[in-house]
Amino acid sequence: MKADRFYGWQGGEASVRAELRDDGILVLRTGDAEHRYEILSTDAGCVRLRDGDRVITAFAAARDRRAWVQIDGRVHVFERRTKRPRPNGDPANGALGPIESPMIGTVRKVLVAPGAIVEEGQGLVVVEAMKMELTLRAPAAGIVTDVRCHEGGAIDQGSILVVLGPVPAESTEPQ
Amino acid sequence: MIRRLLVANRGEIAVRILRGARELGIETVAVHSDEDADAPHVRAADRSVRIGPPPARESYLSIPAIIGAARETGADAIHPGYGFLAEDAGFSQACRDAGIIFVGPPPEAMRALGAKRGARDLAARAGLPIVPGYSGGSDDDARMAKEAERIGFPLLVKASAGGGGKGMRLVTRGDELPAALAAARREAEAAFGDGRLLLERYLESVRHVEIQILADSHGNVIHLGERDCSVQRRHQKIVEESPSPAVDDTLRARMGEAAVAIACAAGYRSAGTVEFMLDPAGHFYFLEVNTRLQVEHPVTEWVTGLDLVHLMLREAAGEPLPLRQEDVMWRGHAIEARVYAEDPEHGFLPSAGEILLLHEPRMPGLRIDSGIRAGGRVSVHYDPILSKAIAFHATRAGALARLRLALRETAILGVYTNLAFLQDVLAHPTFAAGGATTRFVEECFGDWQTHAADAPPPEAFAVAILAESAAQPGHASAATGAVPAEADPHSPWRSGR
Repeated sequence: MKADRFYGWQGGEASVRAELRDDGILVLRTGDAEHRYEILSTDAGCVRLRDGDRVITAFAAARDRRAWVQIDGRVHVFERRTKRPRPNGDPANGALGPIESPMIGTVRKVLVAPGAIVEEGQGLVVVEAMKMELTLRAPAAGIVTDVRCHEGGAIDQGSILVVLGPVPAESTEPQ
Repeated sequence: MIRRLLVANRGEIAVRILRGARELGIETVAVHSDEDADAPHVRAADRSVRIGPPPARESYLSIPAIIGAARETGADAIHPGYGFLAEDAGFSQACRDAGIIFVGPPPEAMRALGAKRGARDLAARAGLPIVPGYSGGSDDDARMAKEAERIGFPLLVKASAGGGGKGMRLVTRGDELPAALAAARREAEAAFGDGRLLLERYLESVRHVEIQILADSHGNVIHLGERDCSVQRRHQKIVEESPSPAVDDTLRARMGEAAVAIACAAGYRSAGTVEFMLDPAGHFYFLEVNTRLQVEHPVTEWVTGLDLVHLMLREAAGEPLPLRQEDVMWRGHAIEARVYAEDPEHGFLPSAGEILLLHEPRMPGLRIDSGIRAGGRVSVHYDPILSKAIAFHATRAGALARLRLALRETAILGVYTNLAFLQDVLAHPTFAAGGATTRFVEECFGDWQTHAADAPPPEAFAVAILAESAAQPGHASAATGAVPAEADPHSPWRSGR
């Protein structure tokens, strides 16, 4: 019996193939490497594995498509992906596109309207959570093609607040 | 003595105060918003009262709701904890008007000290050294700009009503001032309902050292020594210790006397903290007074053997302080680390969500003040502090080693936390040598990278797969397209459960 996973994390992604054998050995393959772990216990989120003469104690929890793993004071958050994430757009305008909220909270102020031409670093939206304010700024010069939030509105982490597009050619000419 | 105490707070501090009261045989009442109906502080109390919807303004900051809850439950005293209404003189006054004991200073002392503007003036009159600044009456931007030029840059814009770094901005050039004033004012309005600001010269290379004071209604005022809270990230304290590596007995006595002087000048009662900046030459400058129990009070409790909550409750009931200055003894070393729900991958922004797993270690010399539980939610509505780990040992090195181990063994999964950051801070040679100033975090961790981008060890994948397999099907959400483990054809090891 086998499980195939495609995991993404902050700095990368990997295909992982796991097989749980009847003798309680988990065989894990990532890339060319193969690892064998004896499962000692999996009680209440505490997983103990034996790898040769080393015993690994980890804490773990999973919800939806996310797995949280803590080993030796470090937390690894894996997102189970089914396909590769979409590649970045046109490199020249790579920073443009949807501006997402990095946190859950509320919109305190919307600083731009659709059609506005913004400079790199210009404030777009002020969001607030837990009494902390954060100004989301334009990652590059562009034009606001859409505003998808309103002042006082609740937002999730990853909510698209503003969409930026490339500035039309005539607007970029020297004045 | 107080018969029934209402704790007008939530989270770890509410739990800690409720327990302190119960130890004294006092009946306890918790208050909660809809968000917190099943929170740990509610479970720690004999009874609980709903005081409103999740936003703090309509619940934990609502004076009528809290006074109403005290009346409804027959509570004869209210402890405000820290944050929320703790430093609101209007609340202290409202308790007095309602015939309820406020466990804290009288409203007059809070008014004299609570606003940073007034406190600066009072400190100067009491003979305490103060930093050059502007704490006058005007909030006019042009006037502020003129004063800023006089004070010189860099300077700090501070909320007069502020605390915990909220409404505070560092300004290095004159042209940054208008934006800093606007942002600080907005943040202060949102957090404290008071947008008044003051300016203060920013001293570089200083430590933040504060003195714990205790005063009673019989005219006794003592201090319990210092806490060094120099390890701050964006003006938010994250690690505190006592004693300070930079304070010897002589300096402690001098700072203690200064703290007692301002407490006397203000007619202070109950527990409070006088904050100072300490420069490398051993000169100290008055910063502000916190008219409440501090987040970091446990380090003082550990080195003095005293219980500040007990002392506050007894004092509030009219008892004299049970000890004199010469009775205060300090022993050993205590270090505290604050665990916050913050996402280091996104600039330490608050992280919210459900706590899927919680493991808090137990070991000798370790105290954990925690306000969370597995299955509980971390809400966007409140401060992101989750818990505090406080380690004690005869020596500083011993306490540090103990705290590092405790943090390594702490697991909080489901929300992002600053645990990895704290471990790196405590592991830094500057901190280990006791050399941290308030610029330590910025200087040594300004470009700190989360470890989340590192390639995970292969066993992490193995554990992830096992965890996914063990996740309850009921937790999977159709909306996110997750496949319940039971129904997942690729999950081969579910059948036995």
